[in-house]
Amino acid sequence: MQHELERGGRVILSTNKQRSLNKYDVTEATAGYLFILPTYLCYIIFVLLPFIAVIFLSFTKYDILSAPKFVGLDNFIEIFSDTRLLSVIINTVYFATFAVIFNVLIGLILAIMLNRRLSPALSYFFRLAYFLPVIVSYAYTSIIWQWLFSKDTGVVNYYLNLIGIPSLGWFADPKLALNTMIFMDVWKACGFAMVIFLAGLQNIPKEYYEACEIDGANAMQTTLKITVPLLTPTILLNIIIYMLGCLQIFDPMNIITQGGPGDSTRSMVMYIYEYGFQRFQMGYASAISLLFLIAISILTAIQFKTSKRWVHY
Amino acid sequence: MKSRIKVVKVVCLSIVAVIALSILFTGCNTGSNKSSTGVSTTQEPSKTQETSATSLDKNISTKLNVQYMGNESQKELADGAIKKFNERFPNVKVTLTFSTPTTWGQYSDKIIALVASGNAPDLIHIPIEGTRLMQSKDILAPLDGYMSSDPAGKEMISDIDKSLLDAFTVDGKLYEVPIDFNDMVIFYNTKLLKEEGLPAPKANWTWNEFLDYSKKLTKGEGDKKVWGFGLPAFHAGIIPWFITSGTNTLNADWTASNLNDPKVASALQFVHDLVYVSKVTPQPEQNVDIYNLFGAERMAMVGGGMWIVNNLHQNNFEDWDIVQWPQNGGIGTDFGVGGMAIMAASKNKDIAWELLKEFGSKEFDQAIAAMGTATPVRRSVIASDVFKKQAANAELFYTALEGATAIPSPVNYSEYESIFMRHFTEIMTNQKSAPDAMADAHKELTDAFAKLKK
Repeated sequence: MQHELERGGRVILSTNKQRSLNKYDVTEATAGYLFILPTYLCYIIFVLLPFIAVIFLSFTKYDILSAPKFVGLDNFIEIFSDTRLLSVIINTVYFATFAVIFNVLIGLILAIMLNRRLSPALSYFFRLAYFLPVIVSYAYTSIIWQWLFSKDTGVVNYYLNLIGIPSLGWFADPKLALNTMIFMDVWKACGFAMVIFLAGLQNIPKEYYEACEIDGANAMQTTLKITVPLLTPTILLNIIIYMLGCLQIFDPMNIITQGGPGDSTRSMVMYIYEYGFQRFQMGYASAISLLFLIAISILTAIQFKTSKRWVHY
Repeated sequence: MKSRIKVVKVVCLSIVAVIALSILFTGCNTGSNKSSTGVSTTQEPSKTQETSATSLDKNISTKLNVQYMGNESQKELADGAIKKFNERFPNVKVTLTFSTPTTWGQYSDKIIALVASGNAPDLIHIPIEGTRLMQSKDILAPLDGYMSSDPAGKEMISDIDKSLLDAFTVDGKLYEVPIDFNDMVIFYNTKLLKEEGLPAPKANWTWNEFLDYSKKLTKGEGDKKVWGFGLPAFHAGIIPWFITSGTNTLNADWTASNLNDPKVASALQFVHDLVYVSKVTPQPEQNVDIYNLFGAERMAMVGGGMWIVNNLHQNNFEDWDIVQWPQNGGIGTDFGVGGMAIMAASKNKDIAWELLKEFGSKEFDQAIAAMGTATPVRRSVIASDVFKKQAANAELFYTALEGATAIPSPVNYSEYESIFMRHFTEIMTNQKSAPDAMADAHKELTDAFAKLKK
């Protein structure tokens, strides 16, 4: 009696009389391992090892030029006395919450509007127009927005002044700056949600709409009773994608305001970057990163768990 | 057959494990720095050797890596220096890695990350902002041996202002050869001053006189608005307000915060009031390019250095002159200086010194003077027509060094700058009063310095 592998990898007990793996099976298994090897290597190099390094470094004092010194839980204890971190977390959560809501909502509305019978040329034009900002780098759009929304030299305030409205500190007023960032993010990113929703809309059978029409339902009722419920898996997908992206927002804040005024537009990733690559306190940056990772994982798990109540597959 | 399957599995897992472990060990830099030649050169402070000039074989064959920051024109300058070096040493292959301008602080951070990753170059262009950190980590090689034993080194010392050499001297050792610098002065539009009937400001003008000029020069509305002054709202641009008040952000040896000095808050209150009370300057924002606005005659005065001169010439804007920073009990301004250093980890220090001499040469300094993006460091070049034709009063860029103070550049420069600038923006956006913001900044900075000593 001996152990033997089936094609599916299940271990079975067999006798010598039973079929054993032939040369073809071995070649196939080897090929399989070789095919997945690059993916696993990439995963190990770019995900697993850095992750292990972050865990290790979070228990050390490390300035990247000297050897790391073990400091136990000091970095984690410091987190609880870091008053700046709290305001940075609030900024990040505020940004993520409203950016996700508006991106998904506006993306959904645009998709429903563009899913109507339009001439192909008009349909392509609008899809391109709304999607174009998505493919343009934040490095470009941020500079344009800086010029548009500058308080004393910007174009927007110039026209507001012409109609008697005083200049607003779009990026210079701490109370307004983060909201302007959300506005900019929605302008830039809602086109992506629109495209995903358009794909989702193609999967809704036309018969449902025909039945609604026969029953005399109006457009709003059809949207709320048919379109939105059947799009809930796509809505969940968009929420998760946007939530992950928005929680890790970095580029526009770093380019436009560098986190200011004060800390009013500083995001978690900016804060981690500041400690890691400007203050060279890699240990503390790693500790924050680790807690941030755990928080995002819990949030994503909650999203999946609660989705059973409102997502209709 | 089962044994063959096991073998395949073991082989695959072994490959993965070996690669993973090799990456883990090579990726974790634990303080040892590798030169371009890959030789580990961990150095204890006591083992850091003094470098000195030696005679080199002209046909020596080796490689040098150089890191330099600047714009495209400055890249041409660096290429020119390397070309001249290769005329003397044709078999030395020099690889120039060029960084486009960010801030000197960001550039310093990048260099430190580069060194930490084990990719330290042999020769490096580094500003004063990064010198103390690199010196404290024994990354830079002292140059005193070369400077004293090589006639070219002695000639440099005799021709370069002492304050620039002092900026790169730590614990009595010189770590960089200055190649260019910038100090802060006030640029003013001669045409706009004339239109308002204002004479050229005097060298010893005061803050009150400056404010009076700014108010008189501020006029118009909307797209016709002309601001009296363009506030340089970056670290090096704010420091002159402190120096001319007789104070600074840090103590003299840059090891402790001085932000609790009431003169600091008082100076910042004056700066704040330029925006909100006298309204002679726009609210500082990242995108408000005060130098373009000055060139476009939308600002009558602006605080800046030699680095803006080239742009003014290129835009055919010539109605300007410069004057010292206005005084308020103290005199002077701040300066930042860039230099070339040899990395302690370099295996080719002697040949790197030969290349460094090209960057520190009179010809290189003259090329800097001709470009107008920084002030040359040599007195002999300042006296030349090449430099004098940059501005009617060009020599002031050099003479302003007298009594000037180097930009505060502590070991933890990036951290210090980030703390100071964050609290500065709180003042400039009315989140906090100047005394409150500076009290908070002082506490934060004091904690940061205390951590360094742990």
